[in-house]
Parts: sequence; structure tokens; C-alpha cells
Amino acid sequence: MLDILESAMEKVGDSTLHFLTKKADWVLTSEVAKAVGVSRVTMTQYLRELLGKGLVERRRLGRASMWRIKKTLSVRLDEPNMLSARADKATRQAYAERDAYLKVKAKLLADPNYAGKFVAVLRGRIVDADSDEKELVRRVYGKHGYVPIYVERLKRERRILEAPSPEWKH
Amino acid sequence: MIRYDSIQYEPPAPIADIEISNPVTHQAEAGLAKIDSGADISIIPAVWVMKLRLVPAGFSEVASFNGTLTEIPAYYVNISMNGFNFEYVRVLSSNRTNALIGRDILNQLKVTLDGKALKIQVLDP
Repeated sequence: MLDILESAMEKVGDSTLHFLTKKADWVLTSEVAKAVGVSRVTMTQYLRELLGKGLVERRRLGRASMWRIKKTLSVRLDEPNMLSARADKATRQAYAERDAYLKVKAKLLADPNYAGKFVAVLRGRIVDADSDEKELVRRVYGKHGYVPIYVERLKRERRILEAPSPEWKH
Repeated sequence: MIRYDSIQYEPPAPIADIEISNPVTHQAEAGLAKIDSGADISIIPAVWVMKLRLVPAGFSEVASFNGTLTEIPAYYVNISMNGFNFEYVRVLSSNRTNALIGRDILNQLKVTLDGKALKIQVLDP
């Protein structure tokens, strides 16, 4: 039962964030409720939760509230897999691990022990490194559990991948 | 099974039945994937990320067909395709209904595309 409720809440939360991301401007509670298909009272509750999670911003207009997606999140929330609050929490943690990595990257590049290796960052520190990516990830999950981490091959250059095949939806 | 799909795709595209699983919980999701030798990396539908409760393990910058750059979370998964198994594969997710099998997987196999006869042969030499 709890799973069903949790799943329903996630769906409403996802739809709400998706709608606000597309709008990208201040919207009345009633308008969001209508778009998502729930009552205004229910939507107020969801929006307050999202506000508490730092995902949306609120502005008062007399007795009414207006909402919009938090500007700093709008780019990331455009990606549909970001639209779950649970996914967002894990992603934020992975972003934090990346920030920690970037702080020490120059130092690691200068250290021959890490040359060309994949490094894994957890709780703000390098927890492991290996030239074999699979072994590294297997080891880190085995030792620290299945938690958000940051794994990257240590190198100076920025790597941009190509995935040119879109999926058109009619 | 790997085959050409001439119903959903015009011109016909090579597709495969695949199974993606969480490498730790082993929860699995089966679906279709397009064989995409133009993709540097394999991609799975965003909804599978949720179903398999995958947690991010990094980010990658990806250029789409029109050159738009997007930063996307990366996940490690196990992939089964046509009897071949690949463990701890780094994949990205996207708002798609099917997956893409990119050269990260294809380059570990011998894939022969016979477009004229609409047949594919996949071997691990």
C-alpha cells in the first residue's frame, strides 16, 4: 500500500515538475492542479513538498500562491529522468561527488599513481582507483553499497560523446 | 533475437531484444534496443532507470544529431543481448521508449549487417 502511495506521489511530483519546467514562469496553484489533474488542495500539498526540497520557488499574490521551477534547476530538470524527487536526490549527491573530484583533479593529474586510471569518489574523497573500470565499480559497490558515486577516467581533456540517433514521437 | 524491424522503422532498422539489470540488486527489465553504430555509448530509456532503481555514478556530455550538448547522468548496468552478457556497462538514459546499443558494446562483437537481405549476424569471434 505504501509502495502504491509512494508511486502515485512520485507520478504527481514528476508531472508537476515537468509542467513547471515547460512553463518556466510563475503559475497559479490552480493552473498547475488543472494541468496535472489533481485538486488544488492536493496540489498545494505537493508544491509545498517540492518547495521544501528546494525544487520550486513560491511567490505570494494576495491570498494566492504562484510557483515556478527553481531557475538553477531548470536546465537539469529538462531531462526527464531528473523529474523524480528521489532521482534528483541521488543526482545531487553525484553532483556533489563530482564537485569534490574537480577540486582535487589537478592534484591527481600530477600524481603518476593515478595516470590514466578511473577514479571513484564517495563522500567527498577518492575511495578507489583502477585502470579497469568494471573492476573498480564492482569493488566500490561491494565495499560501500549501492550508493551514488562519481566515476571518471582521469584525463586533462574534456570528453564529449556522440549519440546522434533521436527518437521521434508523433 | 536480433533482426531488422521494417514495421516501426522506415527504412528498416536493426533491433535486438535486450535485458538490462541492476548490477547489484539484479532487478531486470526487458525491452527493445536499436543497434546504433553511430552512438559512442549505449542509452537506456529513463523509465528503466526508475524501475531498476539505478543510482547515478557520474555524468557525461553528449552531442546529439544537431550538435546540442547535454549533460546526462551515467549508470552502470548489466546488459544481455542475444546470449551475450556484458557486466558493469556505463550507460546514459534518455526519454526514449527503446534503448540504443552503441559502439561500446558493438565493438566487442562481430556484427554483420546485411541490409539487402534484412539480416544481421552477431558473433563473438
